[in-house]
Amino acid sequence: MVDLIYALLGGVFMGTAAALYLFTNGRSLNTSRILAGVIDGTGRASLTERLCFLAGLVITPFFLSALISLPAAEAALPPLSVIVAAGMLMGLGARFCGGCILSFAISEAPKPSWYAGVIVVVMLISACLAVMFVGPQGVAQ
Amino acid sequence: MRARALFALAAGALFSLGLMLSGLTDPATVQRLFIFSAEWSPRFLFVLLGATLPMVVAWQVIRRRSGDRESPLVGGAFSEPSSQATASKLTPLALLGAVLFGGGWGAVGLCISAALVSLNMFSLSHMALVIAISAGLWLGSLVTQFSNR
Repeated sequence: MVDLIYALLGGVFMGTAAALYLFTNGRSLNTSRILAGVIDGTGRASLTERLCFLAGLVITPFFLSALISLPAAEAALPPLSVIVAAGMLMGLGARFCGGCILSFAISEAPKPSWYAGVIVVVMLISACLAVMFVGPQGVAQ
Repeated sequence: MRARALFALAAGALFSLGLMLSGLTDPATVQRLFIFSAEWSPRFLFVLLGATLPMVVAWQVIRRRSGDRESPLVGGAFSEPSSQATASKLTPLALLGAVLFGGGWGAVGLCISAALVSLNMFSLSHMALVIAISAGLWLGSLVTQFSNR
């Protein structure tokens, strides 16, 4: 039950972040697009804003790690070859469909569209199959 | 410009905090969502519920103010959500993208945002994941540019 309360609270923080970004900067919070714009140069006009968002994402855990317990490093991750392949797939996939799971499920949820709905369902089914075939590395059997 | 950067930093920090609280930075928690057993937890649904509430309010306020034509607080213009911009473009490439993304996410248990948040662990695995995601995004940009020609 406590886990579910934390999940709800975490969701509220993520939704608030997306709402803040929308109200102030006028954009949907889409981490893969923000990162892609930095990497491929398409976000040159808003480079500072993108780097600041990414900095907030990366730096915050350093300040909060004393307050919140984080998962043990390495223990729950698959072998390096799987990590590299999975990372490449996520990057390619996010670029092909225009976002990652959280951007479609959170930033765009109140404005439902067939596109976002289909993409989220396909992502979830594919993730389910991947866990079945690759195996839940960090989950106690 | 400075205000946009500061708000972006704040949004990144809040999003990071939300990811950590919700447990989406723990690969085991994420992978457990896809194992349908007696121990299955509706955790992801609670994350989505919590995240949707502020966004519903945000979109309603924006709509009521002037039908999406009001400027954001620090200037500029509201950009269309990606699904609005691509609503008529549910192409085979987009579907393939969803399959690839879901496959990678399920295999490693961390999404792109969670991988960035997990960099604080200074582990080779997490750094390799972020580098691989970046390489995938770059390669994906090349492919989409080529396919749009």
